Amino acid sequence: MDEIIEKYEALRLSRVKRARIFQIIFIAAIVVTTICFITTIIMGGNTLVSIFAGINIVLFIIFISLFLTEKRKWYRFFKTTIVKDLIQAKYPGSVFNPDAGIDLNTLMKPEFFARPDRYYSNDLLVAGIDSTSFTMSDYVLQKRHEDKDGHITYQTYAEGRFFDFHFNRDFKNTVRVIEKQGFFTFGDKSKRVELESVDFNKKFNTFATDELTAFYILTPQVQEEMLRLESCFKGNIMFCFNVDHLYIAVNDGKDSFVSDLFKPVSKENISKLVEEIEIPLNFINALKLNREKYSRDIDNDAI
Amino acid sequence: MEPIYIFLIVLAAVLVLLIVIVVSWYIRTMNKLRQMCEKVDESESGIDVALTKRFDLLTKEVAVVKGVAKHEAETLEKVIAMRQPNKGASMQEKSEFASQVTKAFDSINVVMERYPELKATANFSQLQNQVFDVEEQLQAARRVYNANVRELNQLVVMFPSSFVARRIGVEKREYFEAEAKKREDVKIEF
Repeated sequence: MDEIIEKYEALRLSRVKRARIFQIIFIAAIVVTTICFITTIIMGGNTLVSIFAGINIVLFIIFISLFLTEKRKWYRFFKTTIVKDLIQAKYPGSVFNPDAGIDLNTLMKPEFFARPDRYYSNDLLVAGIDSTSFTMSDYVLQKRHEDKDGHITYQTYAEGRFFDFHFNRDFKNTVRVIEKQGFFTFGDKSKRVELESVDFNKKFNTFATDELTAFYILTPQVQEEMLRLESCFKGNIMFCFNVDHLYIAVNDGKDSFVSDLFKPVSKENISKLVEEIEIPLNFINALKLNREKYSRDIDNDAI
Repeated sequence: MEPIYIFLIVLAAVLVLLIVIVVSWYIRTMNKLRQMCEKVDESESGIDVALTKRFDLLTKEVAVVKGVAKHEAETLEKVIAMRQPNKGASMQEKSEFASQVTKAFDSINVVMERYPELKATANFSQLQNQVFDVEEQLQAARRVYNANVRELNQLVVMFPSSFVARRIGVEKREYFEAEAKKREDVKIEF
């Protein structure tokens, strides 16, 4: 592992060197252009100075483009190589596509959010652990606003990570656990359910189409784990058990697997990356999604 | 109009308003209590369903085990000879029945240890899965019932809803207690 980190760090440093050269050139170009501009103002028009300023503007455009391209290349390499390798090590046989995302209809299924006017999704990960498969991706939901002058803007109202866990058990009813914020209504006529844990009821609202199913799924241990998982994320977290899926949405405004050319590839940073990659595994272990309860082949007419 | 008449009219209006508020509150509390009673009855039927399922699975398991463990046939027959509580039985009777079924499952487990080939059969394995699931359903039904009973009992004992509860004859309901055996300290023997 140390060798791999060193290899990637060496590669990063070579790119940083190149980027720094581009950076110095475009900064110098803008400084020279500024001097030329001031000179022109003080001393009046001068053809030579104007041509020199023009050359520097062109240099500025070229080298800032090269600088940004270098940054983009590293970002791409980081996701398609480093992140991908780490994901493969954790979830063998998984598929990671930084350019793809979860389908909007899937995101809308648990009815956590209102339908957006604009939707972005990326960093799609499809993997499986034991009998539970999952899909994870980032999402950004935006709403269109038009002011009285007719100017249209798009505002982000939800951003974060979305998880879709698929297990081998069909629940006939839907159970949602949502952090207390705002007002929710659902198309399936879910009713509010009060569970035994006072802390849980203070933190979350639980809605279910059947009370018994809510108590069956949300055992005291699961309630404790949901409280612990909530404390791991800065924003809001929502859970929805529906048929053979568990949907989880974390609305914390964060983008996954972020890197920067000037951020070192170190053990510490790689560990943080691995923690991000392990989030679905943590959900599966905490909520015991790979245990018998979610994989039983049972003829069950109650739940 | 004379001030005294105005005063009397205002007083009458206030009295009527108070009566309307009190009567509305009384009706609302009465309906809430009746609604809670219905909810408790509904959740009690969830327990009955789980208990019946559990007993049915026990009978099936005994039938499977008897086929293999012929020597234990008589013992196993006794295990399922217990009487199921009827619909109107008290929570205590249902709780005792649940304990008896648990003991019966323990007896089957003891027999199973002597016949390891039994565990490997698909039929028995599926039955075991169903038993685990029904146990969890029973726990969920018990928690739902107790949550509803807790809410009803709070209304019955707290003032001023206790006044309405006494008037309409709504009383505290008993909880579905955890099985006595499970509340004993676990003894680990080597």
